[in-house]
Amino acid sequence: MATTPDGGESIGGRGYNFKVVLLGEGCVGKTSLVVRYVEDVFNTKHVTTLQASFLNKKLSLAGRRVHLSIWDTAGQERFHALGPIYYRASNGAVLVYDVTDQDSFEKAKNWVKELRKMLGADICLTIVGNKIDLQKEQTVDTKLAEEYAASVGASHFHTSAKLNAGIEEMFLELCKRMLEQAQKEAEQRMAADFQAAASPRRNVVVVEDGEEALETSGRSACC
Amino acid sequence: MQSAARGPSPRVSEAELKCKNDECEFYGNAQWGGYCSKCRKIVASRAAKSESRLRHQHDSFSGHDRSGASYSSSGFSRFEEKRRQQTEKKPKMNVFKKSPSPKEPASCITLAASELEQLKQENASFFRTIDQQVEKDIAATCRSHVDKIAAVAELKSVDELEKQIQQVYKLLVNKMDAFKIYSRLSAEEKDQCLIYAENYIMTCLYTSLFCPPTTEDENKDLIIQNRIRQLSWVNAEHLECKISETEPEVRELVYSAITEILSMDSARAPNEKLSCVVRCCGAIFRLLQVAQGGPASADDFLPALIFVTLKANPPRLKSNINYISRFCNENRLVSGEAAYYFTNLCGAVSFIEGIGAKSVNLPNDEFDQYMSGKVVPVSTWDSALLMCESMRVINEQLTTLEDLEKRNGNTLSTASLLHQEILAFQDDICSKLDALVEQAPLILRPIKEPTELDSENPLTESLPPPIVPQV
Repeated sequence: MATTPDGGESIGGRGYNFKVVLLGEGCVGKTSLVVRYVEDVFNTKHVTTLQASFLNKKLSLAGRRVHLSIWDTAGQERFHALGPIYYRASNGAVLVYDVTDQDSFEKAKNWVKELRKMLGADICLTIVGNKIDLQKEQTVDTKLAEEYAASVGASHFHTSAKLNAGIEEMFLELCKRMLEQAQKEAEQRMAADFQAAASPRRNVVVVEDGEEALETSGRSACC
Repeated sequence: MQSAARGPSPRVSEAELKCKNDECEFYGNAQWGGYCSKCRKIVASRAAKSESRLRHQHDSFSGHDRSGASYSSSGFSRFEEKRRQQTEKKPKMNVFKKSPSPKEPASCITLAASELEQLKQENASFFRTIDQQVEKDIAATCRSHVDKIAAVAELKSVDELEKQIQQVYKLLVNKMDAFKIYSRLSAEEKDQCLIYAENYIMTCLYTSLFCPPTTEDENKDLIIQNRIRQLSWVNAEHLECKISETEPEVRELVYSAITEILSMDSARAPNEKLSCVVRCCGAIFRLLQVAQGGPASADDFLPALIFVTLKANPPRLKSNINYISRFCNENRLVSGEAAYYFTNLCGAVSFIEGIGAKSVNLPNDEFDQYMSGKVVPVSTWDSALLMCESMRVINEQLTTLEDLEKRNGNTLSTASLLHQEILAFQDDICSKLDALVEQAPLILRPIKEPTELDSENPLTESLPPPIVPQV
């Protein structure tokens, strides 16, 4: 099996490479979340690596080796426009909001809209309400958030980086969905290859290539 | 100030520009293999003699002038390599790309001979640990691909070339999986071979594929360069990044980050350019660690990268980015640490292109004034970059003075506080003492005189007689 350009495919049948991008407003705890997941510490000052914005995690899921690359993004409003550069070719996105901050939830909703518009159903989304340890100050309604997540085909989780609650489960569930998605895509591609090989209408494939070329030219234009 | 002159270390020394013949005083030319015109003629005539037999065979076989020339010059490159091994000279930089070309068109492998040699030397220790045959096979494969692509480089569009190069990368992977001589290598070794092959190919094709005339790259370079020059007033505060510009340690790290990102332009292969970006980002993370005492998150990192990019104003920034995103192995640009940093650099450039009053937290009119150059805000950094050492020292010392003044004020206020405390303490003790004295007043009584029993005193005579014990 050859390595394909589209991110999370099998690397020589040995395992899967997934890119997960973390999106959300500043100060909702994106970095703490991923640092807790990868290094199991809450205070970022205790992290062993030099940086806490690009982290790797290896796990084994249903007998497959999965390699997660987690990309943190800058949450400040003025960097919002740079989103497409980061989430390009990612397999999953974690949209973090702060349960005590309604605005951050609205921001997460905006990200969902944008991602669904730009990447369609190819990307697995997870909406995460962080800082659940501050339950007393919670302002975002859990039921509404869950309903919203279901309506856009995303999972919803409540986590606390401080208490290390719900994070492992959240990433595990996301991995499962990304794996399913990757396998589905691989099957589709094989079917398409088979069709292309069987039928004399090879032109269909050429058209697909043309689309890819358009995408790549768009990519170089935006950088 | 020209951005190229800003780096703390010059990138090309004069010695490197001189003719490769040590005894010659003239300047060398990259297209003449690093020789001056005189020395090259001598060398070429010698090479032509030794290779003439081969060339005749080849000419009679193909009858094609261009490929014949390229064949002979690859022989020339072999000769050159031999000579270089004898003299052990430092590789030269390809500076004069647009100078008049030599009479016969040279193949890009010859032109890149010195860089290739450097690449070989860098990887020599690696290939010593594995089969020498592998290196030869890779080099041969690469050369055939390079010749194929170089022949069509001027005819095809960039997108087509991009596809072709990516195809070559895939072929290389397949070859390494299929061929016997590679079967003994581990996955990591294969990966390193692959990187070597990619670097080999792109080092050769650099001149034809970097900033090709069919694209708008050059214009975009100029636009972004001017844009960054206009934004030279932006400092760390505007970007809300935690770089304290006066601290010597931080400044050193900023300098090294800038040097790394500037060196991106002189690297030839996309992978090498990418590792310049990685090293630049590493320096940024180190300086953020100094600044805040812990690993940086993306919230801090991106502003710092934007700051460094603005202050470095790397030459041919857009061309470099496009070159990497077109001709670097796609897999390396999708996942991995390097991909993340490269994406951040793209993000930083895109932010710089779209920078507005809002993004630097300034009111519109102030932003316009700065952009038009009517008003120049004071910045320690700018004076440092203008090579005005004394200005920098003054600024630094002013900061130190301010700091001292503050500390002095602190000391003074603490001293007066202490003074007041002492006074209060004194009062307190005094009042307490007074109270005590009042409680137990000191009354002086007249001194009693001792009675002298044995003296002749009328008083003692009135006393009763001593009791006599009765037996």
